[in-house]
Amino acid sequence: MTVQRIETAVTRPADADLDLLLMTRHFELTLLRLFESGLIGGTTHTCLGQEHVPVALRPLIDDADHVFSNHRGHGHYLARFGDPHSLLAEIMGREGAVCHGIGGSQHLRRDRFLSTGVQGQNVPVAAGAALALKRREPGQLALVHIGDGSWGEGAIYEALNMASLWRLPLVLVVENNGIAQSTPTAEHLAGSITGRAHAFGIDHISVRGTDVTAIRKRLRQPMMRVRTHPRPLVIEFETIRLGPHSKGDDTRDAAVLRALKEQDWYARYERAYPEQFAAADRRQRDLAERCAREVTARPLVRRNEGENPR
Amino acid sequence: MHEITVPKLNSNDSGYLLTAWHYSDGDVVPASAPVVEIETSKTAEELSSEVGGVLQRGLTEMQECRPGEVIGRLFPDEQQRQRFLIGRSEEPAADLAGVVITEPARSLIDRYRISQDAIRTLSTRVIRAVDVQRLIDEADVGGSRIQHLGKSQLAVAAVVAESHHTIPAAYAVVKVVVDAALAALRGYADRQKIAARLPELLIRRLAGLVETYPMFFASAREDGTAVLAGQVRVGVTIDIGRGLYLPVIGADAVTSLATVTAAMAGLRAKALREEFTAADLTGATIGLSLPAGDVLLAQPLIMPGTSCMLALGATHPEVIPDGHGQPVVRQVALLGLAYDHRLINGRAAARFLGGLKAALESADLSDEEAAS
Amino acid sequence: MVRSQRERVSENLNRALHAMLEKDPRVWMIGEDVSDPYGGAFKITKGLSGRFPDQVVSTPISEAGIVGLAGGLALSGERPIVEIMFGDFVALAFDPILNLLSKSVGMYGRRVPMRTVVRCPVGGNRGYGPTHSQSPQKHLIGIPHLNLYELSPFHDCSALFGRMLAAGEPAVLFENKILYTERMYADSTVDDLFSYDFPASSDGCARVFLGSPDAADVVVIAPGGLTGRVLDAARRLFLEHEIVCLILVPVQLYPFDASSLPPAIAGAGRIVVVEEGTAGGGWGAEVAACLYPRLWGRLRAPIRLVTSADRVIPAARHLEDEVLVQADTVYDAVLEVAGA
Ligand SMILES: Cc1ncc(C[n+]2csc(CCOP(=O)(O)OP(=O)(O)O)c2C)c(N)n1
Repeated sequence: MTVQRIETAVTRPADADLDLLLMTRHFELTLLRLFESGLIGGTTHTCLGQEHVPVALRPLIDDADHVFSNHRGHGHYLARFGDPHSLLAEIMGREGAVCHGIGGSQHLRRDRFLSTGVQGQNVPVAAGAALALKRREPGQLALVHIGDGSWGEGAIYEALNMASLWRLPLVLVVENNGIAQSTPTAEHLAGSITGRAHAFGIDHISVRGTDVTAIRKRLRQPMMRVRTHPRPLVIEFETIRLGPHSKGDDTRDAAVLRALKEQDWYARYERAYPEQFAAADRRQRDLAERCAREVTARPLVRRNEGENPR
Repeated sequence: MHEITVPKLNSNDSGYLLTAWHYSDGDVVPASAPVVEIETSKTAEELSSEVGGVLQRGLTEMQECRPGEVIGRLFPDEQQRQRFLIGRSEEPAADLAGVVITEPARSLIDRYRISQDAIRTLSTRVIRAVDVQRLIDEADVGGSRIQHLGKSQLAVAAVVAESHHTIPAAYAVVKVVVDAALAALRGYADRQKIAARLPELLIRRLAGLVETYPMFFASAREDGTAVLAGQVRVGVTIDIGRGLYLPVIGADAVTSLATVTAAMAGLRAKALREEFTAADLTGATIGLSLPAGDVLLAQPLIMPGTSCMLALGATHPEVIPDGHGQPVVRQVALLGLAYDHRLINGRAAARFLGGLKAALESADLSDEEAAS
Repeated sequence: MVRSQRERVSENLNRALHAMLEKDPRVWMIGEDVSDPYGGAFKITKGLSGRFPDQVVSTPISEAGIVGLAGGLALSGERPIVEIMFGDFVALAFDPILNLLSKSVGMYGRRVPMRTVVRCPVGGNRGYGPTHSQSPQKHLIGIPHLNLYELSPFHDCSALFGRMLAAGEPAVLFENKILYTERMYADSTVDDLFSYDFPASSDGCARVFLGSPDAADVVVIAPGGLTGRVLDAARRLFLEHEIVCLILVPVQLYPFDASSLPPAIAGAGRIVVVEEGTAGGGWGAEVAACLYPRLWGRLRAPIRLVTSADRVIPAARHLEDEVLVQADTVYDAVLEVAGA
């Protein structure tokens, strides 16, 4: 795998965007620390390096839109709700957990947000939601996040076919981080995602870089079109996975990881806007620490008969 | 003392392997120095302790350990380590290492105070209740039979041994003619509906003797003095087959024949249910032994802390010539007295027994009936 | 705790795969992320791709596709072993298992050998959440020509793979993840109380006993993944109540051969069947259905099934604990049956 360095000028981020980016970053770093110290068990997938994707999309979707997420979904959740406590509580099985400790890291549901740990499963589900929206709430859309690896699952193609045939307001956000667990994209994906979208007559937009303001500007129109003239759209983010797939299972060598770090939005924003960055970084680092302390001190979530009848 | 415990090293393994100690027992381990190596299914980890100290290892190399387990200890100095080792060697379990004992078996072992040696004679690795029961019933060792003593018998043994060891006892016996007393007790029973017997009467009569014979309600001390209790508190032997007990009939229970009788009935009921409390069994100022069955005479022990114990034998008929040389039958019982020769001499004993004999033989219970 | 350098179950399994690929070039290892250096999500396929580059295939995330692919290989006379990363996702491959692998053996009028093994890491108690912790054994029971097996710390995997591939029918091997880091038992010894053996007539069923294999108060039948929990329970039952359990660990779950079970099973007259799957329509019910006609009149209590609760498996460990079968669940059930 080769990594090339792409350095472009970065637009000054809005404070809210920077805060959200850093909230997600520190949330994920805190999680890994909690894992290491044995305070969390089970499994988790952090979105380190990919935080900007949901942050860029955030103002482009509203509360009546559906967001479907995957195993790497903490950033998607935080961008939508800005509420790290309910998520950390879910992961730690403590009071205030958004899904009563049942779903855990990979199975979240809140309002019109839903995630699952089964790769590819959510694409037809999102198509179904888009079908309902088209019928009942025209102007709304369903957005689904998937990784590059999940393009191995056949259900995606069945869904794309239907979505295109029936002109569904479906946005498929592909976070192509160049790797699926341990397998580089080139070894699991023939042709290209562009080609696959086009094969179904679906528009494909390629997004590079991590400049949230620029990305958002570029996507505003096409997203609006999905609402006004319903048709599926594939947006492919070329991104990086900075952390392990899950925990302690990164087999990439150190040089590759160092090169990836160069592309991290974190370093770029820090270099470009040091003062604004430092203040936000401190704020969010503190918030993550307080959140961890506070949630860790909460009692374990009790079994909720009403929410989990079976 | 600081315990070296195994941290949780990953979320998958339930146990790890202790692969190497970097120090030996008695070595001084500096703070934060790697002290032991633990292997998980994925990696090998060095553990260090934030405090230093003198090491005593708990597990050996190549043993499995679990998160939270104490695998070693660090002591502030060698002396404390030695103290720990001594304390540990007194723990009984160490000797039976490798033997698995079930809880039902263990509770029998505790109840019957079975020794480790006896358990080892079972020569089985897994010991169940039936195995222990066999030991309790009888274990055949080299042709002779060994009976293991129960807890209460061991307690009796301790008291008897102490008594014989510390109290130089002498013994005297008188014969009491009880026809009149038995007739009076029958009349008393008919009218009062209270089934008092000779022992109750004896206890009741003892109450009248404290003033006259204080030395018989006393306890000898090392310094050549005696403590006079001045109170009748009679320790009575009760053995209904569940072990020998010496519960006490207190001063307030000897005020009438009726109260003595009630107190005796109460003690027998408690013996049946095995529910004596410590208070029931302490504080006697004199003892009374009531041999079971047809035993005519028994030499009682003197309870440590008292100066004598009476023994009332079984009532039995005796044939004697009357004034005309004709044989007549009368009922008699032997009344024995074991006494602490340091406090009491034969002459005093004879007078005390004589006084008690007279009190028993005078059959008048009218006072008792008036009182009730 | 005694010293033990016995092989871990994952090592035994890995060694067996090495042996199978080495012995027979028609044996393949196929699955997601199975190549080195990753060596599979649970490291079971470690070292295979380096040694046998032509027999190991790291695939896209395509469970239905790769099991179908294995069908094609098997029809071509090859012997593919497929790893489903998490057994939960065998659901995605249900069609090729039900309608291709197993059907092909019998639906073309004469027998077509389909030598293939689908390996499924299953089970919970690791906090992986609802879609990564299930025990889907029961969903695959009762399919003609499909044999189901379960990994155990008693059964050597080399022999097991030999048996599965020799059968000429597709096999699914369930591997309780909790076992991977446990150690294999060896030399007929389990611990200071229990021993084990493989009675000759018993279809590879391991028999774990205390004292004598013929004297037990209760017979507990449990697949390999439950071994640790059942042994914990059996140990406590004996130490606290002197209830003696005979534990039977079959290596083949389905078809279940009741006739091969050791005779002690009738003597005890009290039987508990344990599985990690959720309640309802499970393996235990299948076992009980096989045993009732054989033991009718000799049972002293109804056969007792122990399963996980009829609920989604929660991610939070303390909630998961309540849902899944634990040593305590087994302990309580045996105590109840012993007293019946
Ligand atoms: C159906 C299914 N198969 C396999 C897995 C195991 N698994 C979880 S994440 C993952 C890799 C996903 O790769 P990609 O879609 O590129 O997303 P990324 O992890 O890179 O974000 C795999 C194989 C799964 N969760 N679901």
